[in-house]
Amino acid sequence: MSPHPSTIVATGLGAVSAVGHGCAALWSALAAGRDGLAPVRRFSTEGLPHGLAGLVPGYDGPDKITPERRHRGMSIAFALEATREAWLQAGLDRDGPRPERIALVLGASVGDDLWEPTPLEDITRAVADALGILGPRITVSTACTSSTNAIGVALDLLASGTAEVVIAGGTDVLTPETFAGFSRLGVLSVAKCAPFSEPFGTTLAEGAGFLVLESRASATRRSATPLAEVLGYGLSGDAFHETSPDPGGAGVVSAIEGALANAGVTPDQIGYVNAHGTGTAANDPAEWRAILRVFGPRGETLPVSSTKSVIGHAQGAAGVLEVIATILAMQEGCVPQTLHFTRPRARGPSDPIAQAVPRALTYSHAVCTSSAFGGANAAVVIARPGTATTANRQRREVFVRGVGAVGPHGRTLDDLWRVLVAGRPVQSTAVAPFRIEELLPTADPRRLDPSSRFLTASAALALADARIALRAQDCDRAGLVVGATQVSPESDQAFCDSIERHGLAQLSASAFARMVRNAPGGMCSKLLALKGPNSTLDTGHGSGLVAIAYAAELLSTHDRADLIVAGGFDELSEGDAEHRRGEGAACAVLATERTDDAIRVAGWGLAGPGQFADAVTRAATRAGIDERAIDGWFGTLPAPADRPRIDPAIVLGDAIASSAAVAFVAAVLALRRGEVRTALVGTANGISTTCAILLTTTEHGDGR
Amino acid sequence: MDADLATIVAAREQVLERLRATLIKQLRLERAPDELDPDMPLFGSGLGLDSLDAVEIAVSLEIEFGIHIAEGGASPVHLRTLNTLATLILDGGAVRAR
Repeated sequence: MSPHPSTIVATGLGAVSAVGHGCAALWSALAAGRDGLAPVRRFSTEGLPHGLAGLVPGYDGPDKITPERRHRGMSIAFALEATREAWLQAGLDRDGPRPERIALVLGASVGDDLWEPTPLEDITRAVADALGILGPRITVSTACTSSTNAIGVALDLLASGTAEVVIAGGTDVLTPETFAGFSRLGVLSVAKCAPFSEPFGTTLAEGAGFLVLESRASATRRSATPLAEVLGYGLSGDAFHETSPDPGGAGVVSAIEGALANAGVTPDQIGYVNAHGTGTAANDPAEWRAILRVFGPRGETLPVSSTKSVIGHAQGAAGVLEVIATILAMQEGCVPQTLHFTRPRARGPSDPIAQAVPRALTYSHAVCTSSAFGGANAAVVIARPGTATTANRQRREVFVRGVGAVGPHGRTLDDLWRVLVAGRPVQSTAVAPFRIEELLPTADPRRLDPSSRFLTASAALALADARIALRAQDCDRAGLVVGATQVSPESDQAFCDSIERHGLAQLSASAFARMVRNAPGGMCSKLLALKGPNSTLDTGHGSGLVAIAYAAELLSTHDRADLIVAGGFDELSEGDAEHRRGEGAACAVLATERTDDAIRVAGWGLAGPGQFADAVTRAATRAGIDERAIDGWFGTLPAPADRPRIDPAIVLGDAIASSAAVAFVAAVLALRRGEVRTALVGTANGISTTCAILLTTTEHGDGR
Repeated sequence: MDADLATIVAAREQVLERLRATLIKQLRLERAPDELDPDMPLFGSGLGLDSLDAVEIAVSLEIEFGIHIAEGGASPVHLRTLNTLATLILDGGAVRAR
């Protein structure tokens, strides 16, 4: 059989890492058994018991950081270098689709600065602008699984026809605060990290990696050479702890199994696992347990290695750099090694490729896994070019089962509807204080910042509205997708206060754990036991709606999840209220099971900045609905002048991530009340990603 | 003898009082000091603290009491209850006095 034309292939690779600039540098370091780990010179590690890291050559000197601890622009510089390398290798400079048909999905955990976090969306926009990318620009921020998850989002954008070419990967900088935080948590190694061996602990790093992804048909059309097939991905949430993995490895099992199912590949076909393999006492055994659970007795002989022994733990860029290392090794007919392996520790892989250089091995398929703070896990299946012969995409219908919102209106749907229909801007855009225990009696409020409280409350309200109480066996199939544009201002303040009072060496570890953008998502999934696909993304204005569209896409194409809670949250910082910024959270429960009163998510579409009409056309085409049938408009979007439009941003204050999710809730309420029959919810974002979702009552269009 | 014993008990009570105040503040415990029994397990079934709290406790001991405990958390024995923490602090103090 010949390779299938819809199979997604990588036609360009770009890497910046501790071992140098470019994929050639990465491969030559792997081939020579040379690591990029060295004592940190860029910033002071005084007072910390650790001092090793994998900084990018040329950026590793003390001149690269100002006395104010800023190193602005490095994450963009890394990303530009890696994306350009991939772009050129794929021949996109010679021959590519229209800029509107190229998307960028960028994973980042911290970006440039943890001391004063800036929007990660800015990194994505800068890179997209530099490359002239005018399709969707999506930032994925699930800490150390960010770039792995980004590759997955890219696969979905390609499979749904949203883009013809997607640049996907990640970039991250090692900040002094990140280093101190990991040190304080006791998870850094005193020596170069030696995954599955001793001493325990990881070595942090930085860098960027990007893939150019497109269908085989597109690559053939452009005469680009497929370097590898990227067949599928899986996501999960541990729902266990902010920083520690579930020791049983259940979350990793779920991510790998999801990836295999999405790829249409059986465990027996996998010849190599590139593990997350941080080297910490908690990660490695949990991951090994997971591998044994997925692969059974075969796991005992399966080669499992960790590239972090060579390039360190590049945080948000780790996953994609490890995918690239795997592709490079696969091309050379070998598997990458685990360096620094002296003696095995208990509960580690039987074959960790414990040698100085890669080992020759012929195999067709590999799995790369990543795990992160907040309990997020992701896995990707890659294969040698020409392996996949069948398409594996069947679409399922998606319904809205319940909605919930917390905001200046209060917490009930009746109050929300009343305030929105009245249309008068609220006096205060702040959320009135409430205790999470009122909704979740078992919740421990100690580490719940307002962001986590708002998100968890709206998700719990949405599940209650759906009259769904998850049983233990359903939790694996229930996920959470969140749109988030900020670190909680309260947690940020607590983190900075702890450093200012006592110094970096004695920063607050629990506040540090909340400095990742997916911390509220992690907390919410833990409190509600949502162990299915877990993701947090940022497209600036409208992120919460893009999260809902992504959740719909996941449910429709990934048959290992039946239910996903999706939405967004915002938390005011000082001075925001004067600018009519809003806060709160809104969530919808999407599910594949249809009930009598369910609302159909008939279609959804994403498009590039300013191309809202394209997003609507895409949604309408998928829904099989004539755009003229739309009789309700919700969100910050163009609507016919003579027709009513509900825009929560005007009434409740402009909440960057969640206003559009509140608009989605409002549309569902309007459909339930019989006020409209076909609702368009949208965000007409002019700089990032536009999104349109069409909702209908289930009676509508049932004859199709 | 009784006076010595009273001094020892008073020293321990004082440390416990400071410990309670420190932990309530640093760990954002929604408890009154007298709700924290000196022999209640801090982790698991007792107060329900976890590994992140263990790091915060280690930091608090450094800042408040000048006690440095090994990276990756102190020995679990010392972190068991408020009383074992108090013993660690009192012993640490004795070591420094020498």
